[in-house]
Amino acid sequence: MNDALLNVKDLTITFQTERGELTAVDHLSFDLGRKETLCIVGESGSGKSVTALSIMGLLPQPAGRVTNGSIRFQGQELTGLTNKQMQGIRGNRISMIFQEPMTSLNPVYTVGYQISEVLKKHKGMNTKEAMRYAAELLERVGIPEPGKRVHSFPHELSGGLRQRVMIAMALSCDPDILIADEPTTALDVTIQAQILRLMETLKQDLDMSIIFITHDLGVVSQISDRTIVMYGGMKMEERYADGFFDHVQHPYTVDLLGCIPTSSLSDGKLMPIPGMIPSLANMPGGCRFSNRCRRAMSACHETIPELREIEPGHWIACHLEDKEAVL
Amino acid sequence: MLRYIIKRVLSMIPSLILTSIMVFLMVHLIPGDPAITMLGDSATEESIEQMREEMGLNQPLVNQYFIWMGKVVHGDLGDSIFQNKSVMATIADRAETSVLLGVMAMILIVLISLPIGIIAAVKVNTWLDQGISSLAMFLASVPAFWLGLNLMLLFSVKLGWLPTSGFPSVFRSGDWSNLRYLILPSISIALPNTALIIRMTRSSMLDVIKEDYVRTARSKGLTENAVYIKHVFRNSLIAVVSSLGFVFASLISGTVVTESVFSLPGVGQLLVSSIMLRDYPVIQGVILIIALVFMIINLLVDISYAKIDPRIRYTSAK
Amino acid sequence: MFNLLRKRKVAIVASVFLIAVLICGIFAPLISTFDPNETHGKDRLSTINSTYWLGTDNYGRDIFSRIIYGTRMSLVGSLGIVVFAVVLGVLLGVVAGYLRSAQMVIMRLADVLMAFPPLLLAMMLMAIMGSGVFNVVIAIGAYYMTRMIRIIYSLTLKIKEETYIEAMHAQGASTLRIILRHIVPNLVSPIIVQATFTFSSALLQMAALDFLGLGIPPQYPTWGNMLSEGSRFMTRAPWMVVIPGLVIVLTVLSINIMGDLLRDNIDPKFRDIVKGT
Repeated sequence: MNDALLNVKDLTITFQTERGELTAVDHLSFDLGRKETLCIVGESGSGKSVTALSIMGLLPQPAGRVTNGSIRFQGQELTGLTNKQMQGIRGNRISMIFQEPMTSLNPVYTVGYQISEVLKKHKGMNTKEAMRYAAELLERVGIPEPGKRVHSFPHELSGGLRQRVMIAMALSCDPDILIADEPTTALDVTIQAQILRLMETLKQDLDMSIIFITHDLGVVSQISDRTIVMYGGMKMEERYADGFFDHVQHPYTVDLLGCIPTSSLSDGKLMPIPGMIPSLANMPGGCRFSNRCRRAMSACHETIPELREIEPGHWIACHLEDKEAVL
Repeated sequence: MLRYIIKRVLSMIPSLILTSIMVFLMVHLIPGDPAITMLGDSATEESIEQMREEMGLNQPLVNQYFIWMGKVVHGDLGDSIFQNKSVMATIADRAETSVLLGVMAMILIVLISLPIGIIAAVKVNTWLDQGISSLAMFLASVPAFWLGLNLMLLFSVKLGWLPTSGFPSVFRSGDWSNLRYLILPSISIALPNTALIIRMTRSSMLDVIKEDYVRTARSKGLTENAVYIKHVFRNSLIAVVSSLGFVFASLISGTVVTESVFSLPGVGQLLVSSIMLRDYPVIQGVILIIALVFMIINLLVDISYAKIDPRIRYTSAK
Repeated sequence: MFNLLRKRKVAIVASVFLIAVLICGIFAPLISTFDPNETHGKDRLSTINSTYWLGTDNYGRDIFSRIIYGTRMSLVGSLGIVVFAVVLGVLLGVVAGYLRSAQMVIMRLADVLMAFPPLLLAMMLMAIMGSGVFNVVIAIGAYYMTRMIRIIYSLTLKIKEETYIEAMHAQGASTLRIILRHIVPNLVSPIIVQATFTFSSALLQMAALDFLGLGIPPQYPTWGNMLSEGSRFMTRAPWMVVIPGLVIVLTVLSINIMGDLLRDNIDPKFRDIVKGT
């Protein structure tokens, strides 16, 4: 795995708050290979978005901080870079799209202008070239009448079109990695499918890797090459292979699948996970999921389970005996 | 955009009519014969009779309004009782001082408050930010005329750097150095008015910083300066411009009192002396003109607001 | 958190000052060292000394005593303006928010009054009504009444939309009862905040009107009238200008500090409406 594009190792992120220092991500490690789609799955508060922001060097300042571990991108360590150095990478080698296409675009500038900003910054284009290229990018992401749309303001576009604009903006410098933080959550189901298909096509065309952050397991099944399940800032399960859903092992993932309504993945019965996600300030000792786990044992409350490989390319962090039928 | 402007101008008409009715009624609300009110106590029987005829006082009030309005739209605001001039000419004589003073004060307000507001927002929760907030609060509590008196005491009387009072015309003499007569007056109008803009700039910048599109701007790799100037400041201007109407209102009030402090031959002082002399044609004229200017300023504020925020143009043009 | 504590500390100082001002106003005859209108021909324009604590004016009247007595008229005047603005503003605002037929008339009237800068409106009304303490209150109060109408109007519309109010209408409760029992109590805290800022702002407007000689008649000692007289003797007796002005600034500042604190503790859903004015 050393030829991976991105190595994240023992990443720990803390937030300074009024209630003291909270650990949002705790010793998280993963790799991202070239042309790979990595899905990070988890509920809100699991640390998945924070992880993405830390790769971009965009943790909320001054509260958020990477306190431990490393993020290596093509062998280059990102955690120690100055803001100025990161500016050369952001939007250029690594770019990001966000959950809310409605609010992620600046309402007072045309979409063309907002795309051209990236091109001027990283490609050294002048305004005219950049606007022309912006129209090409809009065409590439499937926006009709791109020559006219570059002059549109965000409020003149639908949510789906805006997300396409965001994608066009993110891809304008042919990045190596595209981080997508719940890009389809705010969209209608039909639009969701279109956006996912678009991302899949562009990934093939542009030879890039995608980190896809979502809580929607349905999306995962469609696009993922490698899946990580996070809970309470820690990795619970990871599978580098197809058929993630046929092989889930961790009780949390199993419960998560049980929550999906009218999905082909569940057996028709809805099973909510008991209890609430604890806040970061009062995470249980031992396994983070221990206080909600249906199958928690005494060991679960005491020690944090190590990640272990239960079959080639499949890891879980759970004290339960492997190969035990969970359902 | 053009449609928005047309719509906005049309929406002014009812206010304009109501304002003119109010100014018209002024003379009729004052106890006594309106003709005597308009001519002053020393008027002759003959001229009063003539004025009655002109104002149409034996006709219904509505007709009187239309007679008056007909003259007003032709620029005839009547004649001053105490000066041997038409009201229009009297006001025109005084306009230069007030306009120059207002413009200078407005420039100062913008030059002072925007940078300070930005600094407070960028350095939020530091001692600098708190110092600025305290200063803004203090400035908001200072009456413009008192500030003017103190500035005059210090810079004109004690130090002798600047003239105490009066203002020789710039346009008639062609001498732009006469603007030095307006330095202290414009500072005393401007400073108390900076408080609102400083606070608006700071708080709207802090609101905008939290917006998703600022995160997007950072994710594009833009420098912090570009993020702050192009994305944060530009968007926070929307809120700042919307508060400009209040600042202009207070600017006009400030101009009136400050002209008195520095004995400047402006429209404000004309109004004050006319009220004392009960020169009602002039009072009517000045109030009508200032209200009109204020309305036009508000129109310009709204237009620039729409220019800054494309969403306004879009929703109201539909 | 730190900020709030800091604010609280400043607010304590401000409230102590305001209480002191209030006591000066109420017990003016006990606190003042001279009759405020008593002239001392030999001691005209004397500086600060042990007899005249804050000096004397051009008639030889004791400035300290005049400041103390001036507190009365300045505070009573501002209070009158606040009461005028709040009573009429709330009444008309709620009615405009509730009765479609009245809304048009009231809000149009409000628009017209807002078409004049506040001081200009006050000057116009003074020109119509002539001088007098009560007229000053109405002339300045008209503007603040208009602001109050607008605020109460938009708050009423907002509260009206709340589910529980709609539910009450559905149950057939009378409009008057809903207004008195449910709308008005909800308005109390925004009204208090707005009234506080109206008070300080009215104090400044009144001083400006007094300074121009169009406000409270000059025979009453008010801070503004003292400034107005003082400005004519400024070069010889700067204290005649500096002292009354300082008293105005400190009073207005203290009220604003209190208002700020009150606003920070108001229901967030109303904060924007109150802030926006």
